[in-house]
Amino acid sequence: MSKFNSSVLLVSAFLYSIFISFNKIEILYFFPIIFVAFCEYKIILEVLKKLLFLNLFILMIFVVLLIQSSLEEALNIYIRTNMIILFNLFLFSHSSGYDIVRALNELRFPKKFVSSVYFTLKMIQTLTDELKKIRQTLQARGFKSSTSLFTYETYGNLFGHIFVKSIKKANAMQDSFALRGFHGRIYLINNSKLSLYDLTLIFLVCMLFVKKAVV
Amino acid sequence: MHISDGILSSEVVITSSVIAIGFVLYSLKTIKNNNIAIIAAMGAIFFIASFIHIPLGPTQIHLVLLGVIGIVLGSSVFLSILIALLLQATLLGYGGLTSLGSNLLIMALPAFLIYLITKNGLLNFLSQKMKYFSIGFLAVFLSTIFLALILALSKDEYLYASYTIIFANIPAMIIEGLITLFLINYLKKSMPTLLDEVNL
Repeated sequence: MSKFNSSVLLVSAFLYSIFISFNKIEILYFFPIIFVAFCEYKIILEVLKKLLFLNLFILMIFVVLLIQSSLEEALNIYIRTNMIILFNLFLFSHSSGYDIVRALNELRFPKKFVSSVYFTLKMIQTLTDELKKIRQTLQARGFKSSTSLFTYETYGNLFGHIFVKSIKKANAMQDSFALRGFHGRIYLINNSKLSLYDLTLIFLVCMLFVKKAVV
Repeated sequence: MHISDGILSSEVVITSSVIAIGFVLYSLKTIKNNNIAIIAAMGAIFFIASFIHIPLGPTQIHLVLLGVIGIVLGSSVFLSILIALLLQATLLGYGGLTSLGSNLLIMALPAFLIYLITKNGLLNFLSQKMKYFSIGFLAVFLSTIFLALILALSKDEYLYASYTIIFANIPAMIIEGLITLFLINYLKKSMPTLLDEVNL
């Protein structure tokens, strides 16, 4: 479970991403990352592995900038992109997605939007399970994917099945909610309490903006 | 085809975010309570499509299924894809939060355009199989063009990367087209009325 309040997580992620995206890297910008890494020290290796995997596209941009521009520019963009990803990976490492729904609800996003995010998470869970079952079935039948029309037809049918399943599931969900009087709004338990962790995180992120405005 | 945070210029991020917010508000205004479940279902499909890797010679690609999602949802596609992108950015680290607007335009706008093209019968001169293929192919083609355009508008230095991305994505367009062809065939057999609105 995350040490942070859901709304603080989402707001910090947005503020940090906005700030770092458009500024040149300074040592001070690492403080929020160091803090969240300290809070989530048990999963540092796991997060770093994910970061490494996510570097494929960023590396391409880095190489392009290195050829077309300067090493300084390439490094600046490469480091700041990695910093944002790393910060967000630490922040949402324990998230199942429902805390994002709670955060959106607390932050007064439109009720249809909040409900849609909630339903999407429900559907993701259902379809992921369905996908696992289909994969097992394909394996049991000795299917091996290759670069062939047969493979693409199999995947087309697989997704066709998932589409049909998801639409039927969506309709069933719709009906059950209609019976319960659903009128576009999901009621969630809000947790507006802030811990010392939350306050420290918000302070570290906001400090970047203050420092920029003052200096 | 997700753009991470920190790569785009502030001008491109602000402009694309404003345009994307406009589309999302339009989407929110037009949806009814009984559309929420289908929007969620399509968002979930877009989300999990990125987990499935399709072999292509020595490499692999992942699907986006934008064409089919677009023709099923119409204008609601902006809301559906926004939610999927937000969840991908936070839970998986794909894309980013400041680039959410740009990524939404790259993914959802082609899907909406495919919906309009199909609904207005602009692909009717093609045979049925070619029409289904084109829905998948064009969606990824437009998506790649938008991605290249957003990168090129952001920095002159990205122009070379933009050309590379277009060429690199040609196989993905073809495979997406083929899979969409089989997918729509399946849908036509299993749920014949699903695509009536777009006259498919």
